[in-house]
Amino acid sequence: MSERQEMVSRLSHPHAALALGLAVALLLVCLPRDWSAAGKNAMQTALWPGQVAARAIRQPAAATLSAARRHFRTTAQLADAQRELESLREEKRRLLISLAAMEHEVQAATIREPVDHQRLLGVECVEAHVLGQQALAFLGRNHLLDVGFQEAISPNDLVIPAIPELIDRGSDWPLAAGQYVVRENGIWGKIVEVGRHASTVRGLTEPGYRDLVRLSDGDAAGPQGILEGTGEPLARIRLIEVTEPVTVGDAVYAAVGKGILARPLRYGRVVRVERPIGAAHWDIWMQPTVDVDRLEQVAVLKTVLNPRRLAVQGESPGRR
Amino acid sequence: MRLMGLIPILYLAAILETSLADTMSIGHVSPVWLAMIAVVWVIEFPSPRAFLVAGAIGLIGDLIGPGRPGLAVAVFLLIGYGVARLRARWAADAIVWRVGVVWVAVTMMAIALASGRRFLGETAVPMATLLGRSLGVGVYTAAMALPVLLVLKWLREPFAADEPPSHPIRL
Repeated sequence: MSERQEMVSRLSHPHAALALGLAVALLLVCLPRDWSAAGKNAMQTALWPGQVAARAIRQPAAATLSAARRHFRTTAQLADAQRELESLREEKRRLLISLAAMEHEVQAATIREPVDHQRLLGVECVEAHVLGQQALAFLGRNHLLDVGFQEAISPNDLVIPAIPELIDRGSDWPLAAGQYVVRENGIWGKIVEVGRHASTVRGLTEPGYRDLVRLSDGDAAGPQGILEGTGEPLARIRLIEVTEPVTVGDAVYAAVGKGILARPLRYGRVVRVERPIGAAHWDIWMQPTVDVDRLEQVAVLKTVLNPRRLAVQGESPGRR
Repeated sequence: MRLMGLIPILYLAAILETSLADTMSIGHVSPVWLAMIAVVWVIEFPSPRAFLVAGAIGLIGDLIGPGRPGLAVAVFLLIGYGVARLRARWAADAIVWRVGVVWVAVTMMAIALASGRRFLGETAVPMATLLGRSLGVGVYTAAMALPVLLVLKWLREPFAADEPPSHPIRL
């Protein structure tokens, strides 16, 4: 083999070829920019026809893709708008039904004669005022056990360990123990004792307060339980079985008053629900609707016989 | 003859990388067609000097890129040499292995090029960002290589029965 062939053979060896290639690469890196720019320009010139063709294809392709995206976007937007329209129509239908029901209630409340004529019992509100500390001092620090009887009072026999709240209605008004004291649409407590000029009210959060209540999630009446005052800001509801659906936010209404009240009286709403391990009943805590710290004017609900009903029965004794 | 058929493919790849790269990019990541062709060439047409073809493809990459020429030549040569040595010892006929080799090789090429550009001061992007993008480039390019490898395998299979097995290890 000649020397030339031997050299070619050696350079053809992979390792030698690699070394030669790396040397060329190093040389290219060290080239002045002007020299390398010439090579780049030549390459760009060679690529120019292909780049023009690519740009010519790209513009209509991009327009077609944009039109397709617009079409799908428009379709998606149309579908969203139709869904929203349907939900708004449903909401409108529901609100119209609710409005009609409210109007009916208002109408029924204002048209007293046919409703009051039917009911045997009704309620009468007696406005009262909570006596503050100054008034309490004037009246004397006693429990106002001056029970009034002139107004057909039915005293309750509960004992109030905490400092009672006082309202300025007593036996001079037909108050009775056990009557609800309400503010706006929420129950504050019950009359526990009636005096001549003042009565004692037990707030719903005070120890010893008990009442039968019903939970409601807004649409339907729920389970019944016993509301108890604990002395804490939250009242407790017991004896609702864990099989009953109870959720935070459920409204709590007084279960009594059916047949007497047009709509139930509200106690508050459920703010905490727990289930102790192994317990058969929920532990439910309720936030009262009424803010007891801001009470000044309240009303006492008295159950009375409907005079119109009595009058009608008196006119037609043969109907009995 | 094969090299003659490679020229239009390289031309098309250069067009893709210079004019249409943004249409295929996902964020800052787009496939490196020239690197993919270089690695696939070494895998599909193994020979002791196949890495030289990879080096020449690297030169094309240098000339169409903004930086100094020579860096991609060196990187493609070295990675191509490694793939050729691996191919000589380990006959990976399964597509998944070939895609894996493309993924690793292109990722290493991207990392090496990014490091080299950073070292030469041709980019101010933080190294961590460049590494992350290099990993993404490797994955994206390997994904693009899969259909290419499948087509090449389908083209090769009618002739596979005529060729005797020449590799010591088959997977």
